[in-house]
Amino acid sequence: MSIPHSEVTGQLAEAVGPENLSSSPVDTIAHALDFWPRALMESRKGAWPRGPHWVVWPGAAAEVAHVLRIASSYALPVIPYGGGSSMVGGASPRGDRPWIVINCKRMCNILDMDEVSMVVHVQAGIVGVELEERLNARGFSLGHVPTSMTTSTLGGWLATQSSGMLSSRYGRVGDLCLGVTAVLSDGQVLHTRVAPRRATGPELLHLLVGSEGTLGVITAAHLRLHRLPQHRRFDSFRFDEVGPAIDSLRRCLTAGVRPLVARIQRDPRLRRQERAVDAAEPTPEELARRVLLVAYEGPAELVEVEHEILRDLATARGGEPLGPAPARRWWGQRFAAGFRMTPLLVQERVFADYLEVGATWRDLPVLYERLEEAFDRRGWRTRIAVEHARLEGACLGCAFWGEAGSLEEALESYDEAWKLAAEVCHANGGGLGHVYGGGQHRSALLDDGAKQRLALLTQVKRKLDPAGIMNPGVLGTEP
Amino acid sequence: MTATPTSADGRLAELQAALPDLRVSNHVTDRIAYARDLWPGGQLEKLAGKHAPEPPLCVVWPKDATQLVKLVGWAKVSKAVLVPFGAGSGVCGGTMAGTGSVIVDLKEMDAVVRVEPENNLVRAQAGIIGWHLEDLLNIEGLTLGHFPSSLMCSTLGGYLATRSAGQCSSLYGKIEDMAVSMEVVTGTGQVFETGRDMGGGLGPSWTQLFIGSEGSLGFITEATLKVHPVPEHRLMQGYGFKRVSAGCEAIRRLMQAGLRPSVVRLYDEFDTVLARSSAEKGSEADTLLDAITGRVKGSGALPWLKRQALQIVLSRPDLTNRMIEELAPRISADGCLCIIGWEGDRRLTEVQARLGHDELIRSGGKDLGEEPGWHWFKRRYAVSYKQSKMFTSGAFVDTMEVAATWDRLMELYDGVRKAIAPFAFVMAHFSHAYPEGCSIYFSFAGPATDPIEAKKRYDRLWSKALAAATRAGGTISHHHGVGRSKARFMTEEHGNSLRLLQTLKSTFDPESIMNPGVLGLS
Repeated sequence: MSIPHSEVTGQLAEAVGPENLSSSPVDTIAHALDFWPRALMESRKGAWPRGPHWVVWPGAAAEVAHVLRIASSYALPVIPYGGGSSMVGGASPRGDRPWIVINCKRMCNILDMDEVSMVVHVQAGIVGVELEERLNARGFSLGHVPTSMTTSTLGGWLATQSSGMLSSRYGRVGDLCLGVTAVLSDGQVLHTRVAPRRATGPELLHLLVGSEGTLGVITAAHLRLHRLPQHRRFDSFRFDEVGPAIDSLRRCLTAGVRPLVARIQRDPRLRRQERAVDAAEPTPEELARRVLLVAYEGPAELVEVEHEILRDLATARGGEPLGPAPARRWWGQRFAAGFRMTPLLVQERVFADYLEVGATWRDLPVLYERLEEAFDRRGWRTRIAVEHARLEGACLGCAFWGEAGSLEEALESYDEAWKLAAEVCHANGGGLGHVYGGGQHRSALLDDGAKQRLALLTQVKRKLDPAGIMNPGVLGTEP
Repeated sequence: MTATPTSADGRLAELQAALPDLRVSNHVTDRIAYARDLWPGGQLEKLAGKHAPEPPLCVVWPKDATQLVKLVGWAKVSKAVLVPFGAGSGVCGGTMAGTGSVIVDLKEMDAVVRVEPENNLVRAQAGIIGWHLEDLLNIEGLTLGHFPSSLMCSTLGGYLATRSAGQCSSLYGKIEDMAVSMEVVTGTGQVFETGRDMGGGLGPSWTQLFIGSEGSLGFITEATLKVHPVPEHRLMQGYGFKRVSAGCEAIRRLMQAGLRPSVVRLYDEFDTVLARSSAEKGSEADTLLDAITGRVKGSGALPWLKRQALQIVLSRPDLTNRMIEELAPRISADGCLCIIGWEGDRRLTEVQARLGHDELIRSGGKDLGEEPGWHWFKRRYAVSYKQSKMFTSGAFVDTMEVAATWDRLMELYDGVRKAIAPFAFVMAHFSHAYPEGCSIYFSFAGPATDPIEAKKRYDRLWSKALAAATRAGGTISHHHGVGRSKARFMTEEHGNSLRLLQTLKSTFDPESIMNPGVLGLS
């Protein structure tokens, strides 16, 4: 079927208003990509990326519904777009049909705030930091703080089941969600009903959370809130190696402590930027050292006890108390980390990305070691941190980068690095895609069990999106 | 094969031919014993002489997922219906036989597959009884932390299938917070693992989508669950609140203060009398009986008198309810009883109990000491087993557990109470508290001297009460599930999002062989 572009344009203008529709290159190029490093590397070749034919900014679920009905009738792919900060390639469909981007950011209002129940009803296009600031002004916090918070949207978080840096205490974004409004491909606006908890069949919002736009567009959500903490406390410990640090953290969570933040990483003082110009290169012993950075929040007396429990565990395992300063320092820079990679990505022959892999406590130390070894052997650099700790395990966040002879070779190395990472993860109990979702990229690297689970999503998608227009190709769905 | 394929004998022969190793019984005792769960409406039908709705074709006891896959294959070909069965203690008609149905008892799949103390995880088969699983974990110094009052007569698979919640849910979470991954056999005969041991992964959570599916999408055969160290310390404390609304407000503040008690229970005026009654030997139902009949001393010696007294009181429930309301403040000098429990690591327990105590006293609570808390603790599993006594005394009893966010909770309480009051004597307690809301557990008793009349009354009561719950913005079930008894309210409950459930059904059980009728799915 040939696409009557002007006819579609006219109908879309009617759906969202001509001022909220654009086919200008300024907009289509801006919406052509997300933050997937490989696509950004490709763009160094100098060619304009292929973008959507239309970008629309609907103001309400009803307008989203109208857009989806138009897209259905012409079988045009639709990509729901939040902040565009995804790192896994979910912004451009394969195939040659022109597509529509639904930019959700005009839907950015707090619809209702129930301060008695501490529940907020908010539109999905709101940018994370704006939501948090507006909640803070009323004495509340969502407790969801991904590094991308200044760019990413609530809808993006829900669609990718985002995990923020406070996940040890507040869980993933799905754990904060009590209900969603979503528009399906035929234009039906669905509301899942809000209750503190119910036993009336499966909790249906979980079909939409994590579906990455393949089943519908999330337009609003009800979210649990927390009160701004009465008290916050930081603490830090240095260990000679990673093992005892992991063991201390595991035991602390097992005891029932709920840290706000708990991460194990290389000693930040070894970073070149932190060292004196004339300082000697770090020794292997120094490089093997790890620091455990931790924060707690809540009632002061409870925080004090939680702090004591970890302190006792850590010092008994050789952890040297460093006091609050290192952790507080990390906290102060917590949003900067996400953007440290950006300068690497504009260098001609450099490749870089960020790998996040979940594992149970038993598998974690081995996986850590194998991953580091495998990349070292290839001469690629890594920075691995233990993050998102919870009762049964934690996530390894691994930034990796390397340099190649040319852009082409850098792209090859990038793909090789991911293949290597996937092999190491599959062999050592690691689960890829713990934080960032699947997009087009991660979904192809999964083990058999995970692929089987995604195949089920494809089956559900055929029923809810028979024309296959909703973000086709991500999470292993048909392109 | 001599029998015609359509006859019961013929179908049974086909099943045995298809699965020669599968244990099967079509003995009449088994077929009647397995025909229903403990839905009180079903008990009334039994009193009316209808023992089984439709006795099943047979009962089978599969040994593993492979047999279940074959069973599903057979059911698809022979158009049979499969009804998963745990321990049969459901109270919503979730397991109910239909014509030609096969009851699939999973209790032979009851092994603990592995315990991983270092990961705080356990892997167990779905047919294990909750109490056994907890016992085996305790030997390893671990606990699941899931304590429904049916613990001794319910299975892990049942918990997962119905979205069960236990008495310590505020600390350990509900079953969906414990489950990390499950093995399921779908209605298409596919076996798959719903997640990973360290949860996360990509796409929608199939673990969350199969929890609560009440057997309508497939069988849950195994699960990996989070476990905790056996608590080294436990504290229980009672508080009194002048009115139930003041108690609710105190609990809201407690839950929103960032504290995690293990137990939170608040009894309304009349339920307080029951909860505090000193019937050490007794169960809640005994006391209910005693309470309703004005403690006629006659157990054993004068059962007739007790029965008559019960009838007199229950014949005018509206009057009794109003009377109780008037008398409430005088019945219990300390007002409404609230029980708060704390457990876990010693230091965490002590500091939280202290902070929680201050919060409750600030909110107007009167310190009643440890005794009321321990009194409840000792009897916490007693309630589930004494229903039949009420039925044989000529009364029906049932419970209804609803929930809402705090802003609607009192409206929900009043609305449901008023809806039940004309039909039955009603009382309630609040438990399973959250920062954003709470559940309310209504217990009610009505006259059932004439079982046929009683069933009509019972059905009308439920219709009115469920309608009142949805009208007040609450959910129709907090943790018992829907089964068949609440199925007709699924549209009010879910609105148009029910389409998502129907999509799951048509994906995982396109031929509708899995427990049709539950959750309003046919």
